[in-house]
Amino acid sequence: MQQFISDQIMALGLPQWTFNVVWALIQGLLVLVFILFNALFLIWLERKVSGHIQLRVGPMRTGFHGALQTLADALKLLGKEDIIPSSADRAVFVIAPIIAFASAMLVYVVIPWSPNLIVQDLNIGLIYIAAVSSLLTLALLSAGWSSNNKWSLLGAMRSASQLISYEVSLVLSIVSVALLAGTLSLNGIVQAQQEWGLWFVVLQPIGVFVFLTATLAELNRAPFDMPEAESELVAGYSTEYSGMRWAYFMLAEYSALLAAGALNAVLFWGGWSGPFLPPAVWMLIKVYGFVFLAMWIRWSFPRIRVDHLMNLGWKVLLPLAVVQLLITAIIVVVWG
Amino acid sequence: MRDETSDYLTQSVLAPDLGKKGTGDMAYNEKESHGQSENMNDSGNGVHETPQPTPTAADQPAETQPERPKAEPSQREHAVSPDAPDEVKTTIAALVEAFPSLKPFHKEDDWTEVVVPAALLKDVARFVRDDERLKLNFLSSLSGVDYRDAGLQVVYHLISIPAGRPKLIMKVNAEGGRDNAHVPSVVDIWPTANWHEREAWDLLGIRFDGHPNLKRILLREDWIGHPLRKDYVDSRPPRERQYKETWAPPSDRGVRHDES
Amino acid sequence: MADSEMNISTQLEETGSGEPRIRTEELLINMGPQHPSTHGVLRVMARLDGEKVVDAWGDIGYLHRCFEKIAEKRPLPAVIPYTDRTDYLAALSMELTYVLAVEKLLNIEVPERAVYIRFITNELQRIASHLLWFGAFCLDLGAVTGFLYAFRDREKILDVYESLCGARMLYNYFRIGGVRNDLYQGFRDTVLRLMDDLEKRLVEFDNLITSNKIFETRTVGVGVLTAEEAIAWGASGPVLRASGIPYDIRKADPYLLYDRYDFNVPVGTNGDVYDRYRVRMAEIAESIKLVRHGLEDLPRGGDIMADVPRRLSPSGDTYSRIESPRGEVGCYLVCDGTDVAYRVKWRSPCFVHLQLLGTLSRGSLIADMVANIGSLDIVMGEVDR
Repeated sequence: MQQFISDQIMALGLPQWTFNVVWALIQGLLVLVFILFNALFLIWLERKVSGHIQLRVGPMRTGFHGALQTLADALKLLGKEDIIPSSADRAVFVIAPIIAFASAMLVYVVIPWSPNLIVQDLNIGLIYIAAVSSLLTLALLSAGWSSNNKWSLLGAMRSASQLISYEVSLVLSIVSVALLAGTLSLNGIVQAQQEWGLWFVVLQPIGVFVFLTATLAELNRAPFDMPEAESELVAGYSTEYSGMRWAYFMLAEYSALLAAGALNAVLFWGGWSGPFLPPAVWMLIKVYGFVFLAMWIRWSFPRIRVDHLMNLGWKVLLPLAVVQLLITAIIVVVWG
Repeated sequence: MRDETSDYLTQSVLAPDLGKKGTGDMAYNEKESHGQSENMNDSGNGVHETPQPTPTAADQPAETQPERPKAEPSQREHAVSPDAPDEVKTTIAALVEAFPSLKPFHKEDDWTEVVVPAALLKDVARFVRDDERLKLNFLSSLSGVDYRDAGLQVVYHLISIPAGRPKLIMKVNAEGGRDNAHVPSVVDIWPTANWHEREAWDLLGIRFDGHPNLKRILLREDWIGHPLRKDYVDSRPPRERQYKETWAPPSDRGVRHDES
Repeated sequence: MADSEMNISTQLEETGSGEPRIRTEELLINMGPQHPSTHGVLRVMARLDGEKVVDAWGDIGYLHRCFEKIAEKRPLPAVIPYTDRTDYLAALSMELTYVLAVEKLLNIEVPERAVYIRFITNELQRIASHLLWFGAFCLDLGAVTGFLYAFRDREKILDVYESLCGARMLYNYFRIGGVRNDLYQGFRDTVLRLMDDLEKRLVEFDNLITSNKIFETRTVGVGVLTAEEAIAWGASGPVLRASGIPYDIRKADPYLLYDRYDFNVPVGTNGDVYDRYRVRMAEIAESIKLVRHGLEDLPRGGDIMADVPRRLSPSGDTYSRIESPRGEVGCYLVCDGTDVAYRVKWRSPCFVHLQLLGTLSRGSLIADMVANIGSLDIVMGEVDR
């Protein structure tokens, strides 16, 4: 397809950069469509999973087993009045949901769905992800601040403090994976696992735990949903948001969840590698495995308290991540 | 909004047809009892000293005639029957020993009742809480009652926890007449009295001297009057009944029917 | 935070030496009356230092509907439906308090079967109320699933009530001198089966919540209420017992049949949120026992209403107290010889417990404050009356 478009553009006699732009747009569109479809599915899945965990059936009326429920909800949200509080900081208030969604979307650039199905295999993929994913917190912080609401402010502060306490251990657990694989490219990491015939989950048992917990905290998902914490902070940073702006946050949340699942699969569970089935299918299975786990956790646990969250981050996860890094380093030096 | 309310206030006094409705009789009562309470004040404001004011029944409308409840200290002064529970006997003995002027008696079951003058309340309260025999550390309830001309009364139900007994009812008649009823606050003795006293102030207009924060609690800050008083008149306009347009109010229903 | 820019400028105040000094400010927040975890229309004002609660106090009255005034205007039997609406989650306990007060004034002897029916339905009510509390408490802590688990079982109890008297929440079932109608065919079997189920469910709840580490860290040592404080502040029911005081009106001043049957009074040790939770869960188990006892000895046939005069004219005053699921409910009833009460004062445990909010929450976090409000089991209908 790349070749086909390139040929067409060449035939039209346009310069090379036009192709780059067109190709980038097409890729962006594809990613967007992928995210939207998955988010629709994920929201439906969340409802179904939570429903069945809670002895309910979840949505049943719209479409087959409520399959179209999310679509209906999206339409409803589209039709809602766009409310911006009069005392809000307008510019920031408007841009925050967009940043949130953009940050979630940017992660997809480097995720390999199969050996070739990847938007851009950056050689600094891991660093890129660490940088881009923390943009989400910036979005939450500005959303909370600009709303000019005390609950939103508290939620925003919580999300910032949560980022600081979890980003460190998250990155450390990524670093030990990179150390093991000898590359920062995500595709390279998957290939390394395939070559070794060994998923990194075996070599990094502590790392998996740290990464899983830290991603859940990064995603602000229950039991770490402090910035939202509906029984404490009403709805935290998103208290003043409604309609489509709120839907952006929702979309960002679920696309980030999917991206986290993908990262988890790539870093520890061998990414697209697996027997018999095509690579992309393997990848999706692993991603959805993680997503299901996250949902399961969300609907089983009470919310953790904010100071316990800090304790967990700094006093448990960080030392564990450091220990994992040390062990990995020794392994690499001795046998590498 | 404010204007409407005040308009109504004047109306409610003037409008004669209010009395036809069920709630209207309060307006009449208010006038009468106001006059009577003034008389009371003239005659020497002795509400708490004579714990049994004479019921003024004669000039009241028969259906709302407020009788003083029958349990009266003077009638039951020596009512400690030999078959009263032991706790009651001990309670009465302890109280009489410490405060000879009090006349506790056996109320019902194992409740002891005593009427305490407002001036003595704090001392008695502290005594019954700290005394080894009584240890009435649990204020179960604090109720204000409006006995119209007999004045306002505060009733304390006290229990000793964890035994559950002895149990004591203290009745205190407020000092200072209806419009300026005062009772000493017991918040420093039983902290739980805090909101109870605020409620009694809010709904009955009993002032508790020494209360740290005597504000309205259930009603709005700007509410006029104390609704649980027997002479209370609602100062708000009556809520107009909402009829659907297709359904005329009963008064002119027939008229419309004829026209159509 | 009226104006965010202004806040920044005040925070960077110039000191004497000309250096900007960063200053923190206390945040006054207004929790409720529209807030997900205020259990109705409670409004809590809190001064926060960051996440820490410096001070908190409740503001009530949003649900005030003059119950006591209405009770002075309606004939004695006609007040029963209004008592339902005070504590709408344990309506039968409320009816019982009122009915007992009137019966005491009138010296009415209630027939044996009616007493048993009252006893059984009242204990069922305690189970239903505690289950609902459990669910709502889980919700306060962010465990949504527990809420639905608890509701499933509460629904079944409500179904029993629906078959019994046609209503699921506000029953209007007790009468002065008895109960409105007799039990329905199959009541005993349904309830016994329900009790068997519930016993299994309690284990399930234990597995889901009690042993959860997060739940433990959220509740143990949070909102500690010492025994002395509890008594001084007039706490009653599970809140008092969690602080280690074995006081239960059902034991201390038995009404209905509580002196006939043996049951335990669960008592906590630390008086924290966790203990309040444990006490309530243990009370469900005790109530199950009591319901079973009551059903065993339920007299077959017999009157359900005493011979009550058509026109009631009690006089005098009395105070009846019962142990509702939330604590000590009292009704101070003054009658003047007419068929309308002269004064009804409702002693509500929630009203008293709400005063504790400041004591419990000072120095804790917002999340703890939510847990504290939850653990007190507030029903605003009863607080505001």
